[in-house]
Amino acid sequence: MTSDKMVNGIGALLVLLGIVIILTPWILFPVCEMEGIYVITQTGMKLPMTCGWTARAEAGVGGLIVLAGGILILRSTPETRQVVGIFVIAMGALVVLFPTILIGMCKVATHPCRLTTLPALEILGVAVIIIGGYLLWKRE
Amino acid sequence: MSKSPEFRFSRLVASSITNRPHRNVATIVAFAIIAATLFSAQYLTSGALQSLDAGMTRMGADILVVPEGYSAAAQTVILMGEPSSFFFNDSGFEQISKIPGVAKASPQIFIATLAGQACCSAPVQLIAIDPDHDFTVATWLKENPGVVMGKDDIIVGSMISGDIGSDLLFYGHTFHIVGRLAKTGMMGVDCAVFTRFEDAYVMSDESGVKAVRELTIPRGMVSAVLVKVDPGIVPATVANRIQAQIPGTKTITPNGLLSSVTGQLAAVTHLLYGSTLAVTIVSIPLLGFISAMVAHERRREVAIFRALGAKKSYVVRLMLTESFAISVIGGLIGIAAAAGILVLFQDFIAITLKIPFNVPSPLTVMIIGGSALVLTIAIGGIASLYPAILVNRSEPYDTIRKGEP
Amino acid sequence: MIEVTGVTKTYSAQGSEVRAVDDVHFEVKTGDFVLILGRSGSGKSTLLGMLAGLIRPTNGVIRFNGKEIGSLSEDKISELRAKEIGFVFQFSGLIPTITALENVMLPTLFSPNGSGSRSEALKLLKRVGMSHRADAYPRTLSSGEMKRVAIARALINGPALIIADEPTGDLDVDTEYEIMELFRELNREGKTIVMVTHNPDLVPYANRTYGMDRGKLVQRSDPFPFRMVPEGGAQPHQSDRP
Repeated sequence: MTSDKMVNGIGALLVLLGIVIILTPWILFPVCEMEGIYVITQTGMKLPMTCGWTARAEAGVGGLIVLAGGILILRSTPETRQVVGIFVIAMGALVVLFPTILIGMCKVATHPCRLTTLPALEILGVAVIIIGGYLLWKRE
Repeated sequence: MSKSPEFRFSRLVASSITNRPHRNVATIVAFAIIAATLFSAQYLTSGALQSLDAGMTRMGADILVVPEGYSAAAQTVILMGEPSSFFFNDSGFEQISKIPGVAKASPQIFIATLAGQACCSAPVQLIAIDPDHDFTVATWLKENPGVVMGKDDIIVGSMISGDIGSDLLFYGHTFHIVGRLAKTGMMGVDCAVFTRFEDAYVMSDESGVKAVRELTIPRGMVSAVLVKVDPGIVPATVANRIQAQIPGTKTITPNGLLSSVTGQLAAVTHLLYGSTLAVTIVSIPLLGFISAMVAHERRREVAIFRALGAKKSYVVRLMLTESFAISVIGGLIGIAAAAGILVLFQDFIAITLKIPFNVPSPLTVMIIGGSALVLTIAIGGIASLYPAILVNRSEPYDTIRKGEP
Repeated sequence: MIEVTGVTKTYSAQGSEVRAVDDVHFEVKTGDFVLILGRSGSGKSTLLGMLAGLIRPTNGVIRFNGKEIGSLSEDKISELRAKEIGFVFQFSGLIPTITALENVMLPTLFSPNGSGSRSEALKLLKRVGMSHRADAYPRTLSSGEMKRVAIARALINGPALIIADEPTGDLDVDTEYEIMELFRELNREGKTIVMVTHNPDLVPYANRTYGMDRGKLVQRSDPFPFRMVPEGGAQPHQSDRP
């Protein structure tokens, strides 16, 4: 029987990771800050750069992970663990997929979004997936 | 029917490790940090040297001849891809070709661009080549026979964005991407765009009208001459001859670049090796202390083993094996984590540290990882040796009697 | 089986000397069930430790089956313990990180034959009534259950001698009875038992009882506590055994 204390600890860890994921593209490893992640085209229009969209998406996913962690702290039955585990694995996958395939980052390889934000999100996403897998494994 | 597996020495070791997680986690983390530091230092050095080698091979040159006074700028161009423009008299090229030992000479013009890509402002180094004498791009073209470099065609380095077949705009002039070089880790190649002399001249002529800022490329002048020496000749000898016979020039050799890179790398590697040394020096007594604490707590257990007939050597073997297992686990975790972070953040590291960098070959990585692991295990063994021996000293029975139920 | 001649153990504590065991002479024959009675601090556990070769006497000689223990190397003594002596500790002394069954098999790792037979261990657990908890970890067992496992462990290498240090010290009356019956059975099967206790109620189980007080050993011929009887002059009291 995995102790409740341990599950609470995992829940707290998920909350923490969720917050870090939200903060990563905006504060910790910020995406390109050209004029506030917008680019001005030749016609004078302001368009958000790709990395800006990814940053928004990551904030959403991060929020969901925080929620999942909170639910786990409040209720740590085997069923909850199972559901949260699966959910969190999916969220972790999204954290990795948003900046790589689903939305992407700037094309220029030397931009901060590619140099720092992308690797940081990949590491965080994998960490969340591992935690979700562990929850699923130790659901009893 | 009991589910217990076969009971052997290994099971005793495994049960001790898995059933004492809190105590062992700290030790494992310590070993992970040691292994990670050891691994990182070697990995960075190795990656930098491999990148330098790849980059220089790609450039194909044994010697780079640049204007006197611009040697540092040239090195920055090649190593870091920080764009620059400088020129010296083209007639030097003719003279260079005639110097004994020079097999081939290829002039190049370095042009810093204003803004390379559609949306982003990272400047790109434009390098104009003379197709008749060039051996940098020519080599690559030979390896890729389907590609032809015609009018306004460019070949881009690995970090330039834009698919093959698409266009790039420099100084108002449109170029077509026909090829992309493989990644070398050396920015001077990876962030470069290769075009022909004549296209560069057209671009500069039209820039007054088409571009935001006018570009002037003086006719008859080049930025650098790449030199290939005859086989068997030492490049340094030819380099000295060139500098001696043609005033106003400075030569750069791969060894020179190497020492420049290792010089920059030295600061980083000194820091890393220094940290490794510091970590090792601190960790041996620290691990020894933890080991001693654990050994003290396990005195009772050890005493029971002895009372049940275990020899002192058996106990020492048990504790050393446990330490070995923990150090292997910690070492592997540390190396895997370090490798993961270093690979994912490699571009950021290279740019921040201003070193060329390419992921070392898998074999090299395994060797580096292996040596880091071996060192970690050795540290663990040394740290736990004394406590293991110490714990055997006390008379077992006193310990058992004094123990708690 | 065991001959103890003039054995003394002295400890130095804060500048003064303490004689835990003082000039003890006695003998244990094969098949005996020897009980050593005494209060805590009387030195009985120290004496037991010396019999098992775990503590080296300061003076005197201990012979086990004719061999002087003091002359053996540490390794040889360990071998002797592994093969010939089964030890039941006061506090069970189970290893917390392995299961009950594995605890029983533990001594087999130390015996020269290498690893032991699981089936043999299971048989012993069954004998002590613990086969249903074979995969349990010690922290989930009661004191009595741990004691039983410890007894099974003491038997796994088939020793001729069983040494037990206050085996019923922390048990309730019913469990104490069950454990002592187990010892009685083992003695009937031919095992020699040397047991140390502070509980005079256990005297009827033994065929020879000694008292120990402040390091001195005296043989008792009657069940009343601590009445001194001249050495060598006492008759071993036979079956009070029901």
